[in-house]
Amino acid sequence: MTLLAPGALWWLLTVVPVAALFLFRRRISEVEIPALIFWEQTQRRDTLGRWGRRLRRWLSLLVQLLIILALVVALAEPIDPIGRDELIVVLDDSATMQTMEEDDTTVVPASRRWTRFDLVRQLILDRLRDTPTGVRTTVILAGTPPKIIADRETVSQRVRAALSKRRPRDVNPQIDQALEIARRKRHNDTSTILIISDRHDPHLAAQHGVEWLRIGHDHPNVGISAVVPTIGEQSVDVILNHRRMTPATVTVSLIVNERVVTRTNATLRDGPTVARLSAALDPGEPFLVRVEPPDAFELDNTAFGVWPAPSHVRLKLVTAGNPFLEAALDQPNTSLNVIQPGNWPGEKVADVTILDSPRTGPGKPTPGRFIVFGGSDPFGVTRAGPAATDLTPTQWSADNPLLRDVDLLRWHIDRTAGMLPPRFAQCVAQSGDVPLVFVVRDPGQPEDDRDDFAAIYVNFDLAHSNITHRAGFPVFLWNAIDHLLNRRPEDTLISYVTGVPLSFPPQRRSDTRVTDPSGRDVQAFFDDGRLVVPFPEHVGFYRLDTGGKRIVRAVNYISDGVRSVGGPDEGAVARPLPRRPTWLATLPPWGVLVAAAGALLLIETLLFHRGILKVG
Amino acid sequence: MPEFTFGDRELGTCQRLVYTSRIATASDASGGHRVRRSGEGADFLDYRRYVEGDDVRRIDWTVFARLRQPYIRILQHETVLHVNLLVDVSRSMAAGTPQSKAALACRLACALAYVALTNGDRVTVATFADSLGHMLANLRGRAALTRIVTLLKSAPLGGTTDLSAGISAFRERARHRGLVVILSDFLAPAGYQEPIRMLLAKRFRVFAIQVLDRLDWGEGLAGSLRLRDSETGRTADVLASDRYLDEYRRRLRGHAERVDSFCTRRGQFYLYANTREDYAQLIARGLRERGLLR
Repeated sequence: MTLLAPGALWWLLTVVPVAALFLFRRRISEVEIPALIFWEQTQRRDTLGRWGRRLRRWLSLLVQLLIILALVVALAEPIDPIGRDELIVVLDDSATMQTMEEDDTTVVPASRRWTRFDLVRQLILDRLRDTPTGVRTTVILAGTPPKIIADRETVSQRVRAALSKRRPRDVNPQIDQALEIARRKRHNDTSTILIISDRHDPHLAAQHGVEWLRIGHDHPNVGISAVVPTIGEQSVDVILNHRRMTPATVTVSLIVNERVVTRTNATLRDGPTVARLSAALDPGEPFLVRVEPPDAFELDNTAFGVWPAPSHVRLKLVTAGNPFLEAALDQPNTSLNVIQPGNWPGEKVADVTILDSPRTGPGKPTPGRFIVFGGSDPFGVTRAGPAATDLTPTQWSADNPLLRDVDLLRWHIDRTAGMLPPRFAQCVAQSGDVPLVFVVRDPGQPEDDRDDFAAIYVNFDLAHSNITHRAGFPVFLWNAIDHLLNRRPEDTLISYVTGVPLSFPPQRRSDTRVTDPSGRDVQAFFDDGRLVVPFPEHVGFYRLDTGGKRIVRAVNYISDGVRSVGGPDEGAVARPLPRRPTWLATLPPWGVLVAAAGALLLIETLLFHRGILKVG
Repeated sequence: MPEFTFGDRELGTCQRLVYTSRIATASDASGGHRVRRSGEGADFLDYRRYVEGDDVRRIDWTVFARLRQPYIRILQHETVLHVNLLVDVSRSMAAGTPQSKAALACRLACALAYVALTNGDRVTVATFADSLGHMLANLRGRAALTRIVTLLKSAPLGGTTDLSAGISAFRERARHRGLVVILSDFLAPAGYQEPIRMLLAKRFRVFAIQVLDRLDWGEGLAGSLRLRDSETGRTADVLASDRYLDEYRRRLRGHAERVDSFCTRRGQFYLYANTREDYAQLIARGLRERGLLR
């Protein structure tokens, strides 16, 4: 059993005067009465002997002490989430736990405002202070990803030390995963897992062995749910969501280097509100967007961003005429050069060359990036094979970046071009044994070496398939271009989201250093040449420093709730942090004394005057 | 010794009170109480038919000659009232708050004596416990009140309550019939019926005043107690719970009701007095409303 208010145990000292009063009272009163005649005639006499009276007397004292003990225990708020020898706490350290709470509890002094996390941490620290040594304590933080900060720790001081250093992360919670970890860590199946969060999941809370302690008040909230750069203009659209926010008008400011560049007022309405901020910013320049006035949950009142750098692509399309390809390639920030097959290869340089049913070519790999649709291999890399007819894709790599957001189920190929990939090619999609899409890259060269040869072969003519009529065709085409240029969609993002892997462009140097918004080093891993921070936990600017070069990434918090924009979901926060669950909580100390005296008097009256027990 | 006061305040309560004729009995001495008595006295009251047993000398022959029927003259005789006050001074009468039962009994006795003395009646005062104690007999005049007060104040409180012994001794020493006022708690193991019957047999009028205290009713008692009889010293351990006390009070109330009905069924008087009752109210309520005084 754990006590939420162990200080109430001081009330146990009241047993001293009660016991003293009991012991020093005269054990049996002798009364002189005028005549004994009718007393003797009365039937109900005290027939107990000396030992009977003594037993009754001590029983009476025992009852009184038990009453006091029950009162004190009630005041100390016992909870039993832990079993006898095991304490398992799943503590939500997600972003909404930073919501400021008015202190209507007695856990902390009322001199300042505390976050929900502060309150809960203090609550657990108080509880741990009274946890005897030997109790296995497991504390799991339920943010993204869940973290175990105390694993069956038997020394409560270590748990307290680990917990004292924690602060909430700017991430969404993963309580279900944390609960699963807690179940695996549970030594005793009868132990209860205590989940403390400002959210509520009825499904999880109803599970056996789970006690859900929901905390916090419901606050009005306004937050930035997205910052979107407008195409072709030096402006951003700030999308605001709100709930019960008063006043209804807020100020949205664009801040660069702690200087307000521009600001506008936005009137909040039902649903999302869009505020446009125009400013001339340099590419790659970090900026903030701030909404004022701030509310109880300040985290989503500020959004961080990095002004996107224009990404210009030079494309060369070699075709005898294909309007579908031309339309798909004609995009902003793109220069498209369409030439006839007889004019290729020409002098003009291109980042990517798209060959539509080529018939001739250099016959050997030439430096550059190519996409080959059907025809015959102009580079002589593939081998010739039999053409297959009437095919649909049957196998493909769903997580391949080439096929991102592309639905291959609707593809139909009338006849293939009869190309067989070389040994070192990477087949992306195929139909049975027939390759449909494969990537050929010189395995001896790094991926970002643009002087090398790299090509994506599509083993059929576009005219012999239906893919040009599919909505995913431009997506596939630009996936292929990005893949060949080693561009990632996230490189064009204005900001990232906490809890989602954050990647920096490929780095050659090994002396890289990645720091989080507070300037502390964070661990980053190389993944496919890119430097990845797997779980950015805090909003702000993450910086990659490598050899005097700095790359900045902005990270924001986006709530997984639809309406709440990082604030607590409506109705999810139902009650404040429990301190004293009973009406006794409202009693001042003198009230507790009066209540205790009243209870004693009541029990004496009920038991004693009913002739059940005798006191004194 | 009972400690009580009987001063101007108590005397003021008793001013202009007299005994009613209901309790007067025929006596040779002349006094202020008119008593119907055939053939004696000075004042003619009425005639009535002769019945067997009447003294033939009382027949009015003049009326017989006229009506041929024997009639007797009824004459009115003014007689004196003898008030006999028997005050219980046993040990049990010592209890009581704010005044002891003995004190209240003595004050009531003084009041009754004062009313009698101021109206020219005769007063006999005696104390009793397990036997008859001091006795002042046949007192007359207001000055006798001082002697009565002195007697009651000097009477020692002790002994057991024995109504039979006390009343038997009084009956033997009493020379005049009249009213016998017994002031006691009537908590006598030997009973109260036989002594009263003895008085009635001697044609005394009996007025029983039962004086009880809150302690008699068990008030203020709770818990496991060792009760000690103030007269005999015997003890009993009881568990004074509500239920037990209720039963005890029911028994005591039944006892008081039996004393009351025993007296009233025989045409006698009964009054319950509690030590918490105001003295003046007791005189007004108990004695005047019951027709003893007017």
